[in-house]
Amino acid sequence: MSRIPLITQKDQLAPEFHDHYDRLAARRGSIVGPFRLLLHNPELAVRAGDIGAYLRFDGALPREVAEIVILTAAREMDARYVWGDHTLLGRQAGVREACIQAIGNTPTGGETKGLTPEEAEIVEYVQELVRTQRVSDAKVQALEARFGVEGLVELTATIAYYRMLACVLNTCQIDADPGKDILPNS
Amino acid sequence: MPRIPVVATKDALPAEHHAVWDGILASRGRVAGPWLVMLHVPPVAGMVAHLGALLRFDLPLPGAIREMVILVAVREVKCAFEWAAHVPLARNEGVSESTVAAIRDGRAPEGLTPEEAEYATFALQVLRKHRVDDATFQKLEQRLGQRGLLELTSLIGYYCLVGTVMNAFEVEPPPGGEALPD
Repeated sequence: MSRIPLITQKDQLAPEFHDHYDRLAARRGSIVGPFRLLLHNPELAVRAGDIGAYLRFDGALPREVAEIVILTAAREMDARYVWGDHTLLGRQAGVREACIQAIGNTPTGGETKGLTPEEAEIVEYVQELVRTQRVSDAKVQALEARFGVEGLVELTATIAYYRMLACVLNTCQIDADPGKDILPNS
Repeated sequence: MPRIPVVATKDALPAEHHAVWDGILASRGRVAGPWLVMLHVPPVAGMVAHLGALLRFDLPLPGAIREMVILVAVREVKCAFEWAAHVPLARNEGVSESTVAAIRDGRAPEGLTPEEAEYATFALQVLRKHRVDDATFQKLEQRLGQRGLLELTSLIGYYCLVGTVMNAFEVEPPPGGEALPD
């Protein structure tokens, strides 16, 4: 249960903010997870939501890669809502089921087993950055070689954005939507 | 030196993205730190800066509390650039030297005023434990209301976002300023 009332209907907002609601709902189909909270400050919700919409719909990174990044960030941040949402989106983007399960079952601070080398490069970059606030040259260079500087910046911004969302979702105790995957050990 | 090339001039951007540069310059007075790397993806830089402007400049949170919370967050994510940038801003807002030192040395919430300690405890739980206990949540909900609590949490999350990008690319502060312990 959310600690803060959720905004899920346009008429919960004053008419002057209905365009904020529409803008957030337009590309996602409805008002989802974090924006049900952030709409308590509609301008804040839109400014955050625009970043997420760009990363999700307009970015250049392959979707499968972005979803592995998001799933790993969700695991590292113990973000149940994001896990529930992005296990589904990850599958739709072609992330291997074994990869999803391996990320989900990673012990706190531990190693993720059963990944392909390509998956491991991505997962370990996210883990090292979130856990230690630093990341080694080798991990940076491996991803830069695959995705270029712009791709690596987009990938890193994706980690960063989902860390921010996790702060909000976790604080307000937002769980996975009904029927979605449950993040193990959280 | 950052470990990737930086976008250090407006001319380095395609003309269609010059407005992003101008927007950051107008709101911040300079284009530095996180923007030098985020500008590799200009729309993201522009959108993140737009969000940051709201959180830094438009919240009703008192300036001293805002800057104290920012220091706690950037200390926790070990972001040297933002630490150097925000210690002077915190001092300008009236944050005491003893509070700055307690945060820098990792002693906070010890060494803070009772009000500061409520905010610092909240920020550290958000960033370290990924969960906030009921007592800590309720104290700040009473102070700030639900909207204010969401704004505060977003502020903490935003500095985690910015710190993540700078840490990945080793964006360092200019020499001679306030430093974080190694």
